[in-house]
Amino acid sequence: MKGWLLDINEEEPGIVAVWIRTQSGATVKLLEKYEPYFYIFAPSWKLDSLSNSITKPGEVSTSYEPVLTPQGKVNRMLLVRTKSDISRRSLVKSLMEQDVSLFNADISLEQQYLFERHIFPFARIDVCSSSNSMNFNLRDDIESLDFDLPRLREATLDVRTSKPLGFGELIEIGLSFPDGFSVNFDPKDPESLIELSEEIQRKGVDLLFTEGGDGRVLPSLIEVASKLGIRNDFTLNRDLSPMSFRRGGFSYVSYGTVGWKSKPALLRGRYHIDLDNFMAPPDGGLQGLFEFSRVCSVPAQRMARMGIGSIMSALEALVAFRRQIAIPTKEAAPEHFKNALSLIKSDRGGFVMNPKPGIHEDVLEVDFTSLYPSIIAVKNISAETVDPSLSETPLEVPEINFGITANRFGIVSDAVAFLLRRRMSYLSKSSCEDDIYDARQKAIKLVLCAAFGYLGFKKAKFGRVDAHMATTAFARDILLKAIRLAETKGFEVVHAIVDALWIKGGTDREKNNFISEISEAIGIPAKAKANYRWIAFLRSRANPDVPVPTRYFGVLREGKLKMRGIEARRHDTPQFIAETQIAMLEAMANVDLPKASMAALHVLTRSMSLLMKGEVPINSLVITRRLSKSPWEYRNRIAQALVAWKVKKMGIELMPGMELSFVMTENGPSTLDFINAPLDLRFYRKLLLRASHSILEPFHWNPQSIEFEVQRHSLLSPFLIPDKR
Amino acid sequence: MGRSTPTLREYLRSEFDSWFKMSKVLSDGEKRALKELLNAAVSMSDAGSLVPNPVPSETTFMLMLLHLKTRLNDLEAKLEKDIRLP
Repeated sequence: MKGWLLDINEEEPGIVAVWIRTQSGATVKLLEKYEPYFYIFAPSWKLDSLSNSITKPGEVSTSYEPVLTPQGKVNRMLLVRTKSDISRRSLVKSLMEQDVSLFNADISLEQQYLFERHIFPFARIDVCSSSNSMNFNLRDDIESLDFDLPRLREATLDVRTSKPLGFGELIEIGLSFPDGFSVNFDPKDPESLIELSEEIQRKGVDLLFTEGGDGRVLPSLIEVASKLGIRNDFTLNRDLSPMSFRRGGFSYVSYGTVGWKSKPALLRGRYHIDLDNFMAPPDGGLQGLFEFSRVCSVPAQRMARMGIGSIMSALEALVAFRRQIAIPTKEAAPEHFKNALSLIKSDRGGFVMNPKPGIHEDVLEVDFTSLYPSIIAVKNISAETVDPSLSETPLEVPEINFGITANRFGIVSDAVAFLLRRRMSYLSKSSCEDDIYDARQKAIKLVLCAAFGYLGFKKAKFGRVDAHMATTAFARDILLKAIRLAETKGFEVVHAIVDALWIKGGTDREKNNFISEISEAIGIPAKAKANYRWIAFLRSRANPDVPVPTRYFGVLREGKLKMRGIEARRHDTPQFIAETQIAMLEAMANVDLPKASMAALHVLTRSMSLLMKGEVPINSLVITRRLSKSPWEYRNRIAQALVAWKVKKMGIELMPGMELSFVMTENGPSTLDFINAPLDLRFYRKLLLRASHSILEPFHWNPQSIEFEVQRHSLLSPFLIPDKR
Repeated sequence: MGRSTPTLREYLRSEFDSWFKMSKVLSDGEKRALKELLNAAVSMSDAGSLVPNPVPSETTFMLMLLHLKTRLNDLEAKLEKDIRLP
């Protein structure tokens, strides 16, 4: 049988189901016996004793094998094969409490199977199947850039509920298809529900999209089906086996933000993609999902729920497996010992040169392409290669003098170099923005951005803080060299941050020469990222004497806007405020700099007038905020806490990390479904004035003068000639 | 994730709260001067970050001194220019 490997799941203990999409378009499920495994490392006497105690004929088998560790040593380890994944997990759990090291123990069954069979999702394969075993002939290459995918049929499942935020009883279910066809189902009618599952089966849906499907929609559907007595007849699995999902999930903290992740509701033989739980790089969309599913050997349905760190971890695991290196179960490498002085010297981030606040004309932003990933790849930085105790190695880390071993390639540097190569190849193949190559390179870019941070993450299998420190030390050295070179060439450096610098002065030719020289001197390509007609660096709002590195906006030569850190870029800014701020910036871009602030004020007064007349659609005033803790933990009466308390009274349990959308009314914040007072226009007026001040401040406007101008205009407006633009 | 020691900017932010307690007995002019010194240290924290020091207050005072010396030089230059004018 020829086709694509579509999906894989554990059918029953000891049996794996492999889903194949044949060339004719049919979807076939094949079954194979598979016993997952892991390694134990401990002193010989302990391994012997463990081997005796855990071996159970027909359930658990053991044998000894020489195994290569990430540190480059070959150790005698106990290979343990279990009949099912459940027994592997329970055995691993009990062994974790003992003083032994486990390897390959937390790689999912699906990944283990794919690794061992040397196949990957969406690979073109020939399959020969006999009773309980299969032979795969791979007709694809994991490094291929021009892979073709099977045609996948998509559908979207929408639900309407009785309570806000998707909670409460299901009122209506809608199923829609990309061709515009849509059909509604009644969740109170058992026949209608069965019709829903039959429709999905009939149309051969491969990708089923939902919003909140993991935490709410699919578990609610099962609960409804149970109540109606059709638990066994209602299923969305392709093999028509009964579904079983559990509600729940967990809160997590990532880069200082609390998030919420629901338990996955996975389907068999088709992918359920919960857009609320879609963790894969959103920039790449489905192309990014397919790309990483292939190169990490993780089934797409699981990949869709993986964070960027987990994606990196999966790729590193595959790199290690292919190099026959055992994959540690816990973080393998604790930080090397350092005294306080060397810790202070080495534990530093990237270099930031504070911006010169105000407006600067004719500025070039120079950026090193994927600086951190390039450093990791070029300097061979990985947990097992960086060692502060190594001295006089061919490569030494600047300032902090850590050594980098030269006798083997690091696993992280190998994985990162692979992604860098792929990204560069996709970039060269991409002919326009938004083609498939561009989507894939965007997805890879996001993972590369996280690769450095993940090096220092305590749960990273192949990470180590020392490797993280080495990367930042190289980056600081590179940026300082670049600043020095720019100043030597006569440019004024108005700002520099981690991997980019903003330079002023000189001709275009001189700037281009500088970019070539800096690329050559550093050995990592630099490029002109943005050529600004003018750029404004902002001051701290709390302390106007202090510049802030991450708040700026400017107009590029081609007229486009670029902004960072201002309200329009913030997730919790109401759409109307963000759009007005952008419109003000666009107005500034369309006139000469001296007239910019008046052009922006003109836009502001128009928007303010719309707002105060109540002509702004309510949906544009919605504020979305994330709960950083459980509702009962809030002590201050901030907006999201007030909404969470109100929602809790309706019997809806909110967890940290969940998002809340609300509007501000004269009775305080309220969800859209339960507004019982007029909108608090004074609140939105304040927000608008604040956003305007952010962009008018560099033009020497203060909050009072902006307010005065708005009021003056509102008094004069009845006498002004209407603007025909 | 990553760093465990605070950046100089973070250190300054936390230290300033305690230094501001002095303001209770300072005159308005002195308060302004204190604020100016503290802000000068934050504004030049990028330079200070290049000199990791187990006693960050040393770096802070050096940044304040640097700010004052720069101001003095500017004022000297201005004065010289003014004196030269007829």
